[in-house]
Amino acid sequence: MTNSTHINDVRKIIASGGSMTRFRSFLKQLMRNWKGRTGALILLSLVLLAIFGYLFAPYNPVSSNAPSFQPPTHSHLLGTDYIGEDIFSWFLVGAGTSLLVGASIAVIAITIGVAVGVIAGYFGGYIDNGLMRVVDVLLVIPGFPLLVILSAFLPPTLETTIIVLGILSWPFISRVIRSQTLTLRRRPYIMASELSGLSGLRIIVRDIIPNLIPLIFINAIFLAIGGVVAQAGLAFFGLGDLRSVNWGTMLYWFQAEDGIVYNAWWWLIPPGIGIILLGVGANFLSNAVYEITQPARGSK
Amino acid sequence: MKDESILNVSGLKVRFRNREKRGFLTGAAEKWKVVLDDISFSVNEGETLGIVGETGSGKSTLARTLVGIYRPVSGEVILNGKRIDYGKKVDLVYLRNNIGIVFQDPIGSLNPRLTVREIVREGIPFNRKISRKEQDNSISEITDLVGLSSSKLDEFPETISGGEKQRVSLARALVNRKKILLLDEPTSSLDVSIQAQILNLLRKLREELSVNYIFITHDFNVIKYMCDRIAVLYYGQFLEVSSVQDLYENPFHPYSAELMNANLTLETSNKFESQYEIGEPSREGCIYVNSCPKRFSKCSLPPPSIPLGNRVVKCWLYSSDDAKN
Repeated sequence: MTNSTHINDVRKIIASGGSMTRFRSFLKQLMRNWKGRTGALILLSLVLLAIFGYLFAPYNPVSSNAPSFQPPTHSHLLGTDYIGEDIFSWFLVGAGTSLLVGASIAVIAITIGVAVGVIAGYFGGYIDNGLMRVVDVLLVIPGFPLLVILSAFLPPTLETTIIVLGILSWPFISRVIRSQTLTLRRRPYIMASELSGLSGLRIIVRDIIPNLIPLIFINAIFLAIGGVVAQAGLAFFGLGDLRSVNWGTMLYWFQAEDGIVYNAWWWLIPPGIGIILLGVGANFLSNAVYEITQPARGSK
Repeated sequence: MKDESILNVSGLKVRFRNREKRGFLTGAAEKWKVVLDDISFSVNEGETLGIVGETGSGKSTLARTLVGIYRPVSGEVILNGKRIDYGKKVDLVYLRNNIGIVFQDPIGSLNPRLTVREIVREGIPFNRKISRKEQDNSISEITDLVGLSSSKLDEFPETISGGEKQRVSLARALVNRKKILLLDEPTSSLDVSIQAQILNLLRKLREELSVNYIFITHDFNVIKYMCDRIAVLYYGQFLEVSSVQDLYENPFHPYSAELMNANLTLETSNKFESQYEIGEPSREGCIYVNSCPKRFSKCSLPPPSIPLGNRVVKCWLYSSDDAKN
């Protein structure tokens, strides 16, 4: 009973969008859902780690000041790597870079994907056909091999990785957004807006995008995580900027400098766990948002 | 009689692109599907026209064409003596300023993300410069008139009842006063007691705002209660247009007779068994020929619309040159 009332509250809140109080009480509802609580806690701590982590780094991550391949000790909480750099510092500083990369990829992909999807779905006809054929082509190209090739040819900086990954991830988003727009497009209230003389763009901004926000939110989180993982994957293969301090390059140097031969588990596990936690947190959070916005499915 | 008609539609034809897949060897499917064909009627001042028809007969398409969502390929729409050119934006705006529409589905027709007040505000044409205060005044005036309490204005559609939702739809359609209001099965998704409330409200509004209704429904009780004239739509064609009373007492077209028969037997015995076989609409000649019990040789040709007094029937049975054959 109480559950269903607050679900109604949330739908109202999500429905309204906008003001701070509504947002705050949306958060309240999220906190009542155990998945939402867990997911938000995990992601929030990782974000805090990313933003403030470097302040607590005991050493400069890129200066060697200890023996190499030293297991965890008091002075080096997570041991040292092959040239004696402090792994705990690498982990803290790397969190910031990794999450920034993920977030930037999400922003690029969501911006392009939502714009293309909504325009294709709303205007239909030749515009839809044209845009969707472009999307088809991009979707058919196997993503990771293309990434590898592009990264090999473009200058190996972090920006390149971000742009390449961002541009390669939007087609999928635009597909999802387009199909949802198509169903919204048929709702009579969109017709009512058209009849009152609103232009297509205004209808998109006023009637369509607000109804897509839960979908955009869930996709953005997954894109960000996907971005972190893809960047780590590229770095693992030695592509992108290898001098950058992030979780992906940690994994690269682990395999390139024979971490496994020295049985240096303390070098492998921190970035691995960081990435896994991101994935778990994102799943929990998106499940919770889904349950709240689709109360018919119910939640426990 | 023509002088007092507000809306005059003649020979209206609407077609959609056929999306059926073509068979590999069976040849090309027809490119166009005609949804409305040769639709002619007029709405006179102070009169409510009912449009009845089966599901899929084109009732909603007709409504949407009249507000300019779909464009007719041929035919004429004359509103207040002005011929509407669907290709011109000015004309479409004129059309929409004078003809409002209430959709069938009260849930889908209200944006869940807007408050009732904002939804009603949508009914004020966007291109008309009216200060926000004036807008708010007309919003509270119309919501008062349709019987929505002012406390509902800041609620979201989810939290109000079905009947209230339909009142909101009405308010949105009428906030900018209209000459004609198209009601696309406005009561079919409401339960009976709420239906009665809405119908009474509609009668009240008709008197107070002197608005004319085009009432689309498949509920004969609603027709009897609300309408003066009735048009029977069958797969995109008006088979008969006549006054409600005439149609009830003496339906001319075999299809109208079948409809009335179905309705009457349901009313009296709660049971209905059709004495006619039900066939597909015919592509050639009279559209009803496959199901018609009174068909004869001439029905393989498309019948003309035959005016008989104050009704129009599209059936060879009433053709005056019948005697020749």
